[in-house]
Amino acid sequence: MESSLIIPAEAERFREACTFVRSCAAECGAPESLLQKLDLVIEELVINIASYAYPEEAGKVEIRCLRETASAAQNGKPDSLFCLCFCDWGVAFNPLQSPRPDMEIDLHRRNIGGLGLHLVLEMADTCAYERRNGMNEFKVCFEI
Amino acid sequence: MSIEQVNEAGITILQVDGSLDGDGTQVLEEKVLSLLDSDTSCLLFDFSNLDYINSSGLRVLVLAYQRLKKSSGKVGICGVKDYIQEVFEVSGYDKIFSMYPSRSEALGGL
Repeated sequence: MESSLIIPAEAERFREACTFVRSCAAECGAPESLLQKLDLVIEELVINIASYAYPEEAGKVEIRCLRETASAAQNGKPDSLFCLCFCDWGVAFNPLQSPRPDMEIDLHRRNIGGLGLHLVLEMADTCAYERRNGMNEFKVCFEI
Repeated sequence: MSIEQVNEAGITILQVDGSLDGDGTQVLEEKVLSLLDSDTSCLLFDFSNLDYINSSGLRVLVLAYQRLKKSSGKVGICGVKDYIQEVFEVSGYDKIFSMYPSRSEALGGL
């Protein structure tokens, strides 16, 4: 199963992507408890792409939903994964190498930049980034 | 998203219902800033009916915390659902904010 949606990379368009992804998640049998996490990942990443991949010009973002099977090393049973791929054709940006907020500093002195990406990386079970042919592809997967 | 303000025992309670996404966060930030400007010193966010929060929503809570910390004020959060609790844990904010299971416990503890 694989479906995709292309929307303008604009912060306020993230709800269209949420509706699309929720429908794909239901088809894949993803649990209800995953839906708000998916909304969070979509909102944070669409805003990120709108702000940083296309800082000056308009651009597009493609969101692909796919179900994958990954071999689990622990118990030998295959895990089902529900994955989202975010593709844009803007400035190269690897979310896995972005600075993370320093959680050891007192909150009243903490610089909370990078919090959105931190939440995405912590909520997901696996993340992967690839830059190819002028395209950023960031894949976020959840066990279902 | 809707916000209801109640003042009880010297504590300003903001009950935030629905989703704190991009638009909702802006409304909450304006509300919080106006309270801080009017000398509110103890603020309780009641999230019993809040289903969603993003990083911008967390930033509004941090803003309130940072401003009130300077004036020896307090910020509490009560009634969070499982997803919201996970966001707090992942961000480490569950260890920083005073968090209570219910409004009545928060009113007793703040």
